[in-house]
Amino acid sequence: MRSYGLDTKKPFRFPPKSDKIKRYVRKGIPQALRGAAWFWYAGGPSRVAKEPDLYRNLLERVDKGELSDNDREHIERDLNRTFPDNIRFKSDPTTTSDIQAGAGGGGGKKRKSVPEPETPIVRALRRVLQTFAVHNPGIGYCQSLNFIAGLLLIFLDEDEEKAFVLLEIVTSVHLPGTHGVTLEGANIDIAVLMSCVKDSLPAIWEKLDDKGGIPAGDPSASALRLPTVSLATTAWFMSLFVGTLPIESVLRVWDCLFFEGSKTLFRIALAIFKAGERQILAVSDPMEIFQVVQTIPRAMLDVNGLMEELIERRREERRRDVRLGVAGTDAGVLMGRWKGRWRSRTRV
Amino acid sequence: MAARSQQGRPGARFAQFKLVLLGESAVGKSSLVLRFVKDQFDDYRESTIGAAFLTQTIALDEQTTVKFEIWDTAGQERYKSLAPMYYRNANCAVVVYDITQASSLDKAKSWVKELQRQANENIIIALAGNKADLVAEQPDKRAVQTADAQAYARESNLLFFETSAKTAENVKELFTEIAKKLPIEQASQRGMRGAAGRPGGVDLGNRQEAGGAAGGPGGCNC
Ligand SMILES: Nc1nc2c(ncn2[C@@H]2O[C@H](COP(=O)(O)OP(=O)(O)OP(=O)(O)O)[C@@H](O)[C@H]2O)c(=O)[nH]1
Ligand SMILES: [Mg+2]
Repeated sequence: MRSYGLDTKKPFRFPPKSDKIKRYVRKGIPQALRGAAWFWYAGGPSRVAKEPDLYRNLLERVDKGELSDNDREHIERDLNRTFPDNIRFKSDPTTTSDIQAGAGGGGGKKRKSVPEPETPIVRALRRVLQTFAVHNPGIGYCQSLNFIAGLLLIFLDEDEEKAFVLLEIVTSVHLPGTHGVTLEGANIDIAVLMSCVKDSLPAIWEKLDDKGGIPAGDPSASALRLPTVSLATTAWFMSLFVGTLPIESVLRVWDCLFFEGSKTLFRIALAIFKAGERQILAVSDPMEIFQVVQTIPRAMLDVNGLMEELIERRREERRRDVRLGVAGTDAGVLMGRWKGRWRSRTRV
Repeated sequence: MAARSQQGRPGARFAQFKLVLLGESAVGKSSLVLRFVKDQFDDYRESTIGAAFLTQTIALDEQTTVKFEIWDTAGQERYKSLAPMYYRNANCAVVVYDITQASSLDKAKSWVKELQRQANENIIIALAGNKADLVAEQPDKRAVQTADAQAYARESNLLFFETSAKTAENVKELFTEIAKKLPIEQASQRGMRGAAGRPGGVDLGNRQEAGGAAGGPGGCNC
């Protein structure tokens, strides 16, 4: 980055996307630049430019009482359950029962008289989640958004507005519908992932395919039932791997996500299955397979290996796509009715 | 249905059962499981996204071992459409509410109703009023009277405990009482038969039938 003559302390602009920059990003964005680079490459500045007053207006709308009681309650419940072990989120446990009593209102002015055990980042998290819920009635508050917003705040120096904007981008560009009130999009993500496994890891698929899980689409077409193990992957997409991979690996995944888009998520998910291949093939009970798949990513510290795996996988995909043409794959047929979403989730 | 078993030393019985935890978010489902499986407690527990799967084995007596395969589900309303996937093969369920939150009992009741309508006919259901430690310290925090919950449990034919994942009060008892009610003998026999044909395997045919019987996953219109 220095070669571009940019200020590495508080960079506002980053070099334009190129293969060279992509290679840098894949090796991991330096910690100090991370949040700013995410914001820049995900298209944050242009979003802000389009609606510069959005966040402020939303804060006002929350203050005016536009947040539903249900969303407010669920957000309050999760504030202390977001990175509870992180020092910046940890409030004093002896006084936390007062939080509930004082909860509400956007600004926090009404809580002056109550002892204030909350850390600033927890207050910022509350406002980001509240404004997001008001702005997205089709989503409201969905558990898992707390983890995404929380990690964004950490790396954006607690800049709430930027965290809000990135949360908007994640839920509208990268994972449309995934967090919606019916979680319909989450089921699509899983179906797409499973068809990717079927296509590119057929030996593993053979083992996974117990038809025990979610029906992919038409409930009458039981042949399309997804395997039990697919239920383990719901959280991968919803939380963008927070709580699934070790945090160091999550950051590396997010580096690529914000630079390259949602295909990153599918590649990482495939890489997890690939990494667990030997273990998966060694067990036979679907519940044992489930445990293997649930456990593997927790120890995946070797992000370099994971990333290399990814890149190799992508080359294979490219070759295969060239050979077959995407529409000719099984997955393409299976996902026919969700064509638009399928494309938006797998565009290479 | 999904119960399995195998025989070790002569006279010993081993059976495996599927258990699902249901209930409003933050009532303490994951905390109860963590106490039961690892004998630990966290003051702040991260909310569950989707579901987690854990196992724990308990000895009922010298001859009898029961292994629980536990689905710990997410409590938020929007996950409800996924719930049938977890309970449709369940042999037993723990429906949890928070004794300091009256509304969480209403949610628990609606889960009980759904289970009684949609899950296995013979499912054993336990009702757990969690966070008992909070009212031990401050009695005025109680929002659900023990007698009321007990009466409801009796008329709905549920096991009932007030529990604390924090102090471990009644946690072991809850799971032990469930185990005692499960058809261990039957499961052992079925398991022996099953094991003869397909060692260690699960009868996927059954699994699917059960799915059909439960009407598939509720509200998935995708
Ligand atoms: N005092 C007290 N607190 C508890 C008890 N059980 C759970 N908690 C706390 O209540 C909060 C929620 O507990 P969880 O176990 O995460 O609740 P859950 O039902 O799994 O919630 P979801 O995963 O969101 O559905 C956590 O902060 C726990 O520490 C208990 O017995 N006593
Ligand atoms: Mg939980």
